[in-house]
Amino acid sequence: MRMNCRICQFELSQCLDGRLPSGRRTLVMQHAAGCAGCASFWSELQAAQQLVLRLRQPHVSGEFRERLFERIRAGEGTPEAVFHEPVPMATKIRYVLSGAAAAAAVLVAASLWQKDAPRSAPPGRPTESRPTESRPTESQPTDIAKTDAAPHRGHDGNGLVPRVDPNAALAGFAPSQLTTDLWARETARQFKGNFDNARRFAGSLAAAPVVQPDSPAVRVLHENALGAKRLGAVLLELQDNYQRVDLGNLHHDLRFLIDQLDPLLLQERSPDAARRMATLLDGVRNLANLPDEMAVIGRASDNDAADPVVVRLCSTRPEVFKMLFMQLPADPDATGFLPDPRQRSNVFTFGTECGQVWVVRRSVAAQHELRLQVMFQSQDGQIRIQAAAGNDRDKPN
Amino acid sequence: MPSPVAQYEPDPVTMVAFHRALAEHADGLKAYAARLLGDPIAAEDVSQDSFLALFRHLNQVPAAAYRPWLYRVARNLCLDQLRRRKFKLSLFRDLQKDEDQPFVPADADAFRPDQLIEAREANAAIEEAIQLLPAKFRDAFLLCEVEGMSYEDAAAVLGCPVKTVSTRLFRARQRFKSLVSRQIKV
Repeated sequence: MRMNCRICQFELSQCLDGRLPSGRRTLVMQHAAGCAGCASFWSELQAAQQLVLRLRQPHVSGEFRERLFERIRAGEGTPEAVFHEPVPMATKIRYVLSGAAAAAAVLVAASLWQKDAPRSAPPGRPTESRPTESRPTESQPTDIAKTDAAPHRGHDGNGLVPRVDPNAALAGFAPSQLTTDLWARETARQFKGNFDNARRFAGSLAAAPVVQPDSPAVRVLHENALGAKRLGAVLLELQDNYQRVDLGNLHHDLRFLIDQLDPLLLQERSPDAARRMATLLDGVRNLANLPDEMAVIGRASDNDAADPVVVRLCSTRPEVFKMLFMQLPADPDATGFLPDPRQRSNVFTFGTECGQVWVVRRSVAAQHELRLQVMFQSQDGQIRIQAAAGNDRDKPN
Repeated sequence: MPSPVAQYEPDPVTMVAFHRALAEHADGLKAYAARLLGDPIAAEDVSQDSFLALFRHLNQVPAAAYRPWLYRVARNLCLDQLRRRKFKLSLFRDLQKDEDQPFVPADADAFRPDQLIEAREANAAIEEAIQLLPAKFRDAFLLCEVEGMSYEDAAAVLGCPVKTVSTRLFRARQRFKSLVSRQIKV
């Protein structure tokens, strides 16, 4: 084939993918060497490819595999939308030729079956095409909302019957929306707390000649290390999957920490294990600066009914949600918590299908001894309001 | 309506191949779906649905064809979502555009270094250039250039001849090159 610039540039594109036979490649390169336009095209093509290679690749979340195999175990079928796109004849032939005739046959059969089958899902509701209802989706309520947020009813030990409608009691108080940026900052703060504690206790245990496996210090070390691991995983998820934070260079240290913590947390509790933990935590000590160095990207509008990332995280990371926020109301003995007016700016809300969920940041509660006014209604119908210290992390759960 | 579940227990060798495919292709599949949908949250669902579909058809798909099969399924799922929730998607994109606006930190302890901004802007420019490519060219570009797929596999995903893939890829590269000319340092 005669070489001209048009052909040369087309073949340079193939050359970039190693698709040209060596003889043809030599011809193309010879032409490019003597043609400024094609030489420039070749350089730009390579530079553009380098740009693409630098693109950040998102990672699937840590629970991706677990959730997939849960769905498989639950017997969930093939999503119906798989068969919505008709398979072109060329692909069918290719499948036949490659020995995958059965796959093509299934696709065709299913396409025909889908055409005949009535469409139950209305347009614009893609999540309804999901064959199961057990899987958490954006439109489904979170487990937390289902289990904890609903008002509890019943008698308490003091004979107090909760009958106060918390919504009425909290009327006029409009908390801010719980958005991803707030979630991310709270995660970073709590991560730092857990990380610092784990480092301190690992250091002291490493120096101890004997370590009792069931000692409080060991328990605190493991709790904090586990907490740091879980919170760190959320931060990585926020960065990799949602592009809502940028951890900068610290993300390498964070990934390393999480990878290394797993086996250490399973090891027998001994001075040697504590020393390894201390060495690991010391090696990534820069992570203590994570709240300062992390950049939060974007912010959902307060007008949004619910930040989809928050709803998703509440559903997929219930254990982390509980580490970060105290949910209101959640006391089985009370119908509602009224936050101290001085701390109302620390109360946030987000919407689920079960209604609004109200939360308080745990770090603030711990720092400022957030006081919550607990409302009770006695059997005689009188409403009592009593103060409760809010720095007891587990009280509302 | 849910599809019928295939009652099939894969043999250990097939399961190893499935796990390997999961490790090798889950991230790429999510990235591909995210670029087609413009929504990383939905993209993870698409990626997982694709693997679920593959698992249910493990006895029908040869291990060598896992990758194009997965991408083909993911593409179908994405096209289906785009068709069925155009309106909803536009809301998501509006939200994302809002998020792209300069962020004003609410807390005093949050800041964003200049380097991060520059890197993010460059990244955004490349992503935007990809989105500006015509749909047919973008398909070939995403599969071959971004995901590093062979022309043959891309042709299987797109349902077109290999020659068409190479032509679309060439056109896509030409346009992409001119769209990112500011970022190209030759």
